[in-house]
Amino acid sequence: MLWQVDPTSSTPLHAQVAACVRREMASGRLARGDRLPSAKEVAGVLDVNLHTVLRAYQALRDEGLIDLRRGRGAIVTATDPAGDARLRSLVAELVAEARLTGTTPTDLTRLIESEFQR
Amino acid sequence: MTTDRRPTRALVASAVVPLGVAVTGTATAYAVRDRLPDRLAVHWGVDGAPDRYSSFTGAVVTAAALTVAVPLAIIGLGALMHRSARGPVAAIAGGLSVALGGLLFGGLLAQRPGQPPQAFPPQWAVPSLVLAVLVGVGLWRWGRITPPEVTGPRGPLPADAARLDVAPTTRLAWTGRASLPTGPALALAVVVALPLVWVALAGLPWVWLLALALGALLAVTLSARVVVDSAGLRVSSAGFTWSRVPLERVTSATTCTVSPLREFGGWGWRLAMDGRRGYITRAGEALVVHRVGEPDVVVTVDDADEAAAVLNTLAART
Repeated sequence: MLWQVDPTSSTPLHAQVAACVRREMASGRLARGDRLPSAKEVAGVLDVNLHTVLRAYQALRDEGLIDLRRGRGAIVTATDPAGDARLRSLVAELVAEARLTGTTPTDLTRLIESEFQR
Repeated sequence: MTTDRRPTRALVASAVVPLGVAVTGTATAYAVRDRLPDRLAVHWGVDGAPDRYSSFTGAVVTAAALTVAVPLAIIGLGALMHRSARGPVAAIAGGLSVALGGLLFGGLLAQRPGQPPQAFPPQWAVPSLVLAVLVGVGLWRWGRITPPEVTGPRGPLPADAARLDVAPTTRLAWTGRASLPTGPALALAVVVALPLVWVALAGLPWVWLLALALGALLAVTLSARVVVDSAGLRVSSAGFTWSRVPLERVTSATTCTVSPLREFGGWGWRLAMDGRRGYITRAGEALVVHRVGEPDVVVTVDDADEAAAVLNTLAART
């Protein structure tokens, strides 16, 4: 699977690492039962701190996408990784785009709300 | 540039090993002939009892012929292979002839009149295998080609080399696995385990150890982690690195469709006739890494095109 983080981006590194996993899930390349590389290995290949990757994995666990067990590593558990995960990556993209155009969180929320009311 | 002759020399030297082992074994057998029984056990049943006997001459000639024939056939194949493959082939042939000679002659020389011949002489097995490994490692080191130095800036990657469109500040990596599909893995386990379990149950309990050792060896050698990062390509199983290609030795990366038997003669860490190295676990798509002055490295992974694009992107930055 592809891992990419940009240290110059304003998005925190741990969020970028988690986004890599969500993108693989959304594209269907990670299936239920697949094992993710160990946090130590990911930290090594991306040259980031181990705690950064652990934080990303914990976020994915809190979203119910992976299961973290000592000695077994990270196992993909989400039955429908394309649902919640896809929404989250779309929001991440949306926020990144909003930052580029200088849109404030309030403006963006208003835009989303008006889209809901259509 | 003068051609490095060591791979060929190592291969020629490895042909001397089986001949030397066979001559030594035969000479020793004749020297101690009067201490051996008239009829020598040459084959044992699954329960460990001898079920075939031979005359002294017949047994010695068979042992010598087997010690020489199999390694020489391998060396003959090695002579047809790429130069860089000759060292490893010499190592396999040399090591194998020591192991074969040690076990075959050891089995004959350990027999005494009036005593039931042992199924397997452990006092010969361990030294033979240790010596075989030493001879193999020695020949492998002798026949190893030192890859040419990488000097100066690299040339540009081929225009058609797939790359990722990412910012130059992005840290890129790719992780994957090369492993046997479940079906063939189970079939292999059955083919390897069943005969051994049968022998173990029939009365040779130490064969359980052999079965366990083989199982562990297969589990380790038929599944590898594949990593592409700023250090280059790395293929490793449980801490043992099969292949490491530093980024500065990567000319470019691409993909291909491999046929394990036709191109690599089997599965696992393989040498092709043309010198390509491959970690081959199935037919189908594979990552191909072209190297500076050395044959390609091929690894069977899913999404090989993505791995190749990551490697090309990283290589283009160096």
